[in-house]
Amino acid sequence: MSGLPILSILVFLPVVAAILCLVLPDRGEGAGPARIVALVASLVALALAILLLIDFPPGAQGLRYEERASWIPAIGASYHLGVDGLNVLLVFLTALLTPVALLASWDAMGRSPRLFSAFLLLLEGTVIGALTALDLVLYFVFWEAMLVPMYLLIATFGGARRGYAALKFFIYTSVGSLLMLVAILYVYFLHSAQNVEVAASFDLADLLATTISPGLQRWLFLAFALAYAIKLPLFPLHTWLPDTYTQAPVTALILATMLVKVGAYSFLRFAIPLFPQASAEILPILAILATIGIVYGGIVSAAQRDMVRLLAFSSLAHLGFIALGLFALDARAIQGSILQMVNHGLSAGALFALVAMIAARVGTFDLAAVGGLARRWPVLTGCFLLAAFSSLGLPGLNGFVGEFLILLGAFRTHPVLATVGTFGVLLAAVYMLRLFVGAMYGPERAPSGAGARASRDLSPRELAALAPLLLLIVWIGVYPAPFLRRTEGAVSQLVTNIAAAREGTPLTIAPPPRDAALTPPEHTR
Amino acid sequence: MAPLAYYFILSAILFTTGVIGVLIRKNPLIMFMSIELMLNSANLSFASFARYRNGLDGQVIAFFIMTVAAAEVVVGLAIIVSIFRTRASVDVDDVNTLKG
Amino acid sequence: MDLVWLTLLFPLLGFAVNALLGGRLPRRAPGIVASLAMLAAFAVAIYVTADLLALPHEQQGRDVILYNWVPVAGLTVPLGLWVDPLSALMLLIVTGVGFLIFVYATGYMADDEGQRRFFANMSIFVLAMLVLVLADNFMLLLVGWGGVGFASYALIAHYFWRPEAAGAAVKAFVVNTLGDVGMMLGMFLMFREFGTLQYFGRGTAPGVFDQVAGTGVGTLAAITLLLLVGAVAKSGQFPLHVWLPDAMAGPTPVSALIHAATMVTAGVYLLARAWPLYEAAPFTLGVIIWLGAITMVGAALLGVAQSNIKRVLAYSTISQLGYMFLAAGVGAYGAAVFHLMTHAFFKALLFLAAGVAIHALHGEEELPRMGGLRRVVPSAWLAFGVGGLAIAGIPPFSGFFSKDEIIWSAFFSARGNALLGLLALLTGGLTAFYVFRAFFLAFYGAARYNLHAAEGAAPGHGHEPAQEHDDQPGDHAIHAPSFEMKLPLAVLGVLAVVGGWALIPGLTTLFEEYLEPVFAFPFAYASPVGHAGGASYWTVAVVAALTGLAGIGLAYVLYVARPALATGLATRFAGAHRLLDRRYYIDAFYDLAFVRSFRALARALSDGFDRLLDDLVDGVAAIFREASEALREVQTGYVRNYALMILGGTVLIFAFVVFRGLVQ
Repeated sequence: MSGLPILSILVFLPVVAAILCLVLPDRGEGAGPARIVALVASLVALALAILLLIDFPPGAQGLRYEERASWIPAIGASYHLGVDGLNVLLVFLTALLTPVALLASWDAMGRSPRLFSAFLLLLEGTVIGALTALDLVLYFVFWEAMLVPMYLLIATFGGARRGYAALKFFIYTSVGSLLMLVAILYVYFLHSAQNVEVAASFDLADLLATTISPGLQRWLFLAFALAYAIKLPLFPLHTWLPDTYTQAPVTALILATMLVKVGAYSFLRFAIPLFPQASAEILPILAILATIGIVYGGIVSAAQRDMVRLLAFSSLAHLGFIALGLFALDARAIQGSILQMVNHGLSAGALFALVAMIAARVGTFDLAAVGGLARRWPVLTGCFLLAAFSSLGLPGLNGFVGEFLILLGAFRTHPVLATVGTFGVLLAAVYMLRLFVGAMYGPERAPSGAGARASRDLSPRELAALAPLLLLIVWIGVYPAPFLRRTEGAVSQLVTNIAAAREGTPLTIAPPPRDAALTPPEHTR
Repeated sequence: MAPLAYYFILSAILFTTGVIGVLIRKNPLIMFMSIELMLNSANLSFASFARYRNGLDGQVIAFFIMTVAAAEVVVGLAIIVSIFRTRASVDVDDVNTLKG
Repeated sequence: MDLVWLTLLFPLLGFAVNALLGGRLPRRAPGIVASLAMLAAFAVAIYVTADLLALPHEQQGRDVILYNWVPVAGLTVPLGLWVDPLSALMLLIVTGVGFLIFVYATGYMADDEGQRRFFANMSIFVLAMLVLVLADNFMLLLVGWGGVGFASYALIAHYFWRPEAAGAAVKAFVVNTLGDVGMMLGMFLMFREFGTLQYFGRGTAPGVFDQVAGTGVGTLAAITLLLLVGAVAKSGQFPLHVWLPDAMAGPTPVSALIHAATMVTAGVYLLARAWPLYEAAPFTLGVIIWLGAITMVGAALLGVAQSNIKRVLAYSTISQLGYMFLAAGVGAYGAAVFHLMTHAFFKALLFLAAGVAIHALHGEEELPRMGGLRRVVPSAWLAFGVGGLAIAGIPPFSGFFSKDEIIWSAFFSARGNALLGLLALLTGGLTAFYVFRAFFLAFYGAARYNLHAAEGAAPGHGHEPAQEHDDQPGDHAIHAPSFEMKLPLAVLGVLAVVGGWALIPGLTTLFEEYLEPVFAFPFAYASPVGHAGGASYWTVAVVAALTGLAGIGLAYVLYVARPALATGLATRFAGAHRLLDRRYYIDAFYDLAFVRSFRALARALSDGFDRLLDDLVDGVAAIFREASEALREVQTGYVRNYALMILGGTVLIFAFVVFRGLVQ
């Protein structure tokens, strides 16, 4: 495995497959070979991602599977990919969600399955690119390129107001990126001015060595943070999210939730390490916004009638948790946040898929128009129950581990915010049960004329789409250690580096008296 | 040899004539000729400088300008012909499709 | 003892078989599979307990670690099971009483279409409950804690097509999640303070309980109060008791197992488990004492006014849990645990007996539509009577010994006082009264039921709607209890009688010795009065037994001998009756203060504020649009205009260059 440029394959295999899909013909409604090509390609990518995850040593510090090539030597931009504990889980998650999204969309690709599958694959490739890029030009290219397939998905396959939603999504999220580009260039020129003897470089590792005065850091950090805060989104920059989610094809959202996670991840990879002093100053303020997002998203979510809109606001609340964990700058909280990104991908992915499946049967997303559906489809109900309770953080499932670690860690640095955030768990119970109970319990009702499909339980294809997500939901809840161990090294290193970079500031890394090293089961006799 | 300034004065006169031609004439063909006039005034300056400094650079650039002018005329005339075909008029005041 | 994980495995298997391939099994298979799994778990529990008791006292506390559950930087939480007499006792109660109720349920649910779902959820409940009692750290405790909340939700919603069942399930889950939030905050504070979530230390690393000494009283008070929120929510104590009566919308075996015998006692278990923390937080103890006392009296009064037999028992459960809280508050942790055990026996018995009556009447739960069942279902009559005598504290039934221990502690332990003791005594009398009120109303007097009317209309019975209207001729007979329903009644009946004999002051000290490794002073004997069956104890015991008898007697007079008197009293004290009937208006208040105002807030934020935010964003876009509207006038489309502008621009640039040169 060492010789294989595995990351490049993960980035470009989907892109190549997407191009192949584009040239393949569409044959009639929802048919044609493109979906199969796309599924095979995404499954190959998934297999590689699983290999990558297994091969990634637990507790490893530093980057692995680095690939470096000269790209634009004139300005010092290079092709540089790599994974460490911060992104390895997310790469795996992206590769997992793509075939799931394809399977879930199988019959929902509208007029042109080849376009739909091609856009999904392009999204996968660009997201993995943005997740693994370690050169800021390369990163920025992928970061912006992610928007294109998403824009096209919304604009081509979206709902009635798709034009408005697609444009809003695109413009809103790129406005922030432009300031980030300016900040990237500023750091670049600062770096070349400080290091005249070496060639100019956009490589993250080189730029990290730049000395930046605290006052300047503040502005540069804000420029980065704005881009990421819009992407995350942080309250009050979230208003593109509900519009985008309700207008986008719902099954595409399974993968599209990765976009927002790239924003969260980028804080860890770029903004915080590049500007440690400024992040120490500003992150507490952002943490307040994250906490407001938890509560606000929870409350507003409870008032929605549209299932997808409800899930969109619940995403705002969940991303608030993730952001709070990142901004707490506590090793446990950050590990919890990374795990929670995976958890959100799984539970939100499953929920979007399930809501799409329900809507395909009853023909509406309106909660007020449906009820008592549990009687019709016991298997679907079971899957929905599991996904909903994973999302509301039921102890024993995946969401709990992430949220508990986030709040536990955040409580050490921001006790008040963590306390407020914990009530988000209660709100999650309220809005998730509103969704689940509202749709599945009570007297049975559904819009008339829903057709014969309305009586069918999950098909094997739908089950195949959901199974990996549900399996991981339980697995991570019961045995999250393999996932947590893979993030531990990189997160400890990150927290130590930040602490070292801003001497004099109180450090949060210092762990409390550590538990005795655990040996495998202590035999009592 | 006449002083350099004479050439520039001539060049400036030619250029100004060209500018005024572009601004006040309505016929696109005349406007094109005016543009050619401006380009050639620049050519005159380049050539004079080249002669004055005993270098070839200016003359080379003059050739470039001629090439560009030729290309421009080709494209421009094609556009004019095309406009005439659709509108049966080539008066520039009638053509404002690109109004914002 | 290392095999204790098997107790978790068997319910898990019971769940897996039912959830994954139950559809292919014969009709009665789900119940049989789940019951067998419970029997196996019970056998393991007995083995583990025997193994534990063979150890010397000071070694009776073992940490069995299965694997590292959550290893992160600076915190390692194992999936560890803590086996000591307290958790072993809970293990026995959960698996033992659980097994009996499972057997009962195979009969009770025999006609239910959702058996598979039912037994899968029941198995999940047992699994979660065992995790709760066996956890060796607070985070794992929370897994069990949340898991039983989920199972409770799923089982209350067993008849999910009924709006009241769905509503009760949501209410139960949300209130319990509020408790979870409190517990989580307590744990965060604990971790901040102690750097660990383990109960007890391992190796050189100290646990939470090892670090209590030297910690600030304020911090401890905060931690214990936050944990208490969870305990209060789970155990249905005032002011978070509102979900428990509604939870009776679930099938009766669920009420017996979850909402009487096991899950709701988790709060008491938590107080007993974390006693080193609570003993160091006097303020919290005061809160516990008074919450317990208020709940005990208030719920007993509500029990008097209920017309639904299961709701009578639900308020009785709340009230008895109040006793246990009171006992824990005054330091008699052993007495609390003792009462927890006997309560599990007699309350399960009462529920199952009520279930037999309900089953016999095709789902009729209203006392006014019962009556005269003594001859119809004598097994239920006998079982309810035994359970009633036990809960009323009549010697030699089990409740007598456990309750008297609490009443005595309320009077005489170091933190007890006369007022608490009198309240406990009074509640004892009330308990006897309302239980026997239900008993007499259901089993004596004239038959007031109508099986034709009960069919279909009655809530709480396991027929799907399609069947509810399926009027088979012949199905209007009384449903006689089957053997698998009677057997658990018999076993629990015996336990409800003899369960208390494990601790008869001055005679047997079995239970005290058993709990000795867990608590410093299991029975608050460190009181100034002294105990061990002394004069004060027997005085209290006699008075309490007499109070109980008086309650029964009053119930007999009002509901059997002179029924007119009862209705007369109800009209005489209409205001009080109304207050009780409306549950002190607490539910109405919560509905207004939290549910409705939350909805209004959510609406306002969603339709008002969020729209405003969005309008701001669209407003920015609109500014650009307007600006470009204005600017587009410049684009005339005339070539000559553009040429003029180019000229003007050139002149300006030229002028700038020239004049800048001049200025310099």
